[in-house]
Amino acid sequence: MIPDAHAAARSAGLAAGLRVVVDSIETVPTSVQGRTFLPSGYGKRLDAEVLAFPPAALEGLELVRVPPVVPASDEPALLLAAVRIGVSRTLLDLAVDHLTARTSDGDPLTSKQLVQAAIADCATSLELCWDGVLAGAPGTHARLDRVGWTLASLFGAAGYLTDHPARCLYLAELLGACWVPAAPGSEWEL
Amino acid sequence: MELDSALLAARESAREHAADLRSRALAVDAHPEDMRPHLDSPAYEAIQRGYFPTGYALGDTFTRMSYLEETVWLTELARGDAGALLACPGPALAGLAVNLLGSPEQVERFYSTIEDGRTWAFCAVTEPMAGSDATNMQTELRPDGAGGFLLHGTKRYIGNGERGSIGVVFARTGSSPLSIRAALVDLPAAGADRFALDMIGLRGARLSQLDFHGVPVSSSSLLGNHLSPMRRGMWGAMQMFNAARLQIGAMAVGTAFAVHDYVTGERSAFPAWQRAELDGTRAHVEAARRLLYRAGADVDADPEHSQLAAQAKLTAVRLAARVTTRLPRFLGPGALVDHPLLEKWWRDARAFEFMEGTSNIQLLTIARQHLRAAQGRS
Repeated sequence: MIPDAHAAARSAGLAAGLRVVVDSIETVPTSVQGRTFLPSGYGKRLDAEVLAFPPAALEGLELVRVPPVVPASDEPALLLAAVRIGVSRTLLDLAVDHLTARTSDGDPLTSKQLVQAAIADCATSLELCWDGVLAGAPGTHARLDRVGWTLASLFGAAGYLTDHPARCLYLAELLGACWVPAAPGSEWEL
Repeated sequence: MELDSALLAARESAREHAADLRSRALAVDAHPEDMRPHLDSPAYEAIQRGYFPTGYALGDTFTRMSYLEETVWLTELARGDAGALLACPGPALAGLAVNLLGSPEQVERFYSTIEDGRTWAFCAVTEPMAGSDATNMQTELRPDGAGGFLLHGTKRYIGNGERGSIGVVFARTGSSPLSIRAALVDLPAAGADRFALDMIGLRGARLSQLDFHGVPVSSSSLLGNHLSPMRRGMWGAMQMFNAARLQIGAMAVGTAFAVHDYVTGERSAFPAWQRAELDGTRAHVEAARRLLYRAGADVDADPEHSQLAAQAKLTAVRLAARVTTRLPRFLGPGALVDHPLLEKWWRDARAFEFMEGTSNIQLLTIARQHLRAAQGRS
């Protein structure tokens, strides 16, 4: 199921990937107070209270509230990580297109070493995350948080608009925060 | 560095007003277009009193704050909420440009327009294709044939641009770096269109797009006519950015403090590893604040000093990103969606990255200054 979740997210986005995941797990993990995100329309199916959260609808998701669920295994976290890797890879492609089209002093931004370093860091981290998922390491989410921050930053302020594709990175991180408890240490040190 | 009694008093005063900003944070975030419920905010009145010169309705005791005092003040206010702070009507960044470059008549024109305390000002530098790289600026002031100019171009991500009544617009009158000028522009105006951008966070800033299609600008509206050509445009923009870096750094550090305060206030006990990380983070936030204060004092000593200001902003932005992401996890899975303020601050922290120069721009500035100093030593 991990390759399927990844492929759906890579080709059709966060909601499509999440649909694969939610359809394949018994219960959807939630926050302490029972909030979680589902693909649009799934809340009604699960008899959940649908809450107002405008950015979610833009991404084909809805924020719902159900009786709190603590996941019994790492499976949901691993599948969600596969989804996040899929959307991150798509956003990395878009970022490279964006940075190639933008110029500074007559050169594409992709010719700048700091930009190249950020691209290389994201690409390498995503490869490591993929192997982390296959190895069953749910802690991958902390690294994906950092990749998401870097990717969104590559679009400049445009990546901070609600109608920009980078919006999915914010929602993916919120999902990770709902589904994965904090662990000692972090991939994102000060 | 240690603060003297006056700065400690300023910090205490700001802390009192931070609570008022905090109480408005979520409402401003949800409906930044509707500021009517907030215009009589005691915090807004205090902020405006700090930024208006003597002689204006709100400015009974104004002497321009030092940059150090401003960093102290803004850090504490942002500890209440940076979004509500940026939504405050008043001079904001445009005030910095007018104070630096304006003649007495231009200062009078600017502040008299916004003196009612319910009027916003905007400062337009950033462009869709050039970002905040002033040397690649495309917006033009073209001669109108009668001694004035016509403003053409697009500015994007301009704070309070959609609702500002007066602002400073940076544009070029020619192709050389010295041809970049700042002009006072009143809005609405014939030939100007504007709209708010729907941003993910820091929505109180009401970032907007401004489109100028031949807006008339008189020669008397160009700031800095009384200054030497070297000091009219880019010089002012660079000094303004230096001060603005401190402002954004202060908001980022204030936001990090806000999250730490909130998380530690939610529980009386944490697991040992979380307690240790909370304490370590607190020390990092304190260190970032000290660096920011030092940078403020450095810019006071020489407004052209940019290295410490850039280092302070870079540090503060990284810290805010990390703190807003990591610390909420200690309240259990999904704290970001269970606690709306935490979710808001997490979104807000992303905005600090691209305001007044991205981290890459700060890194380049720091490297340039450091290498120049090293060359000087050799």
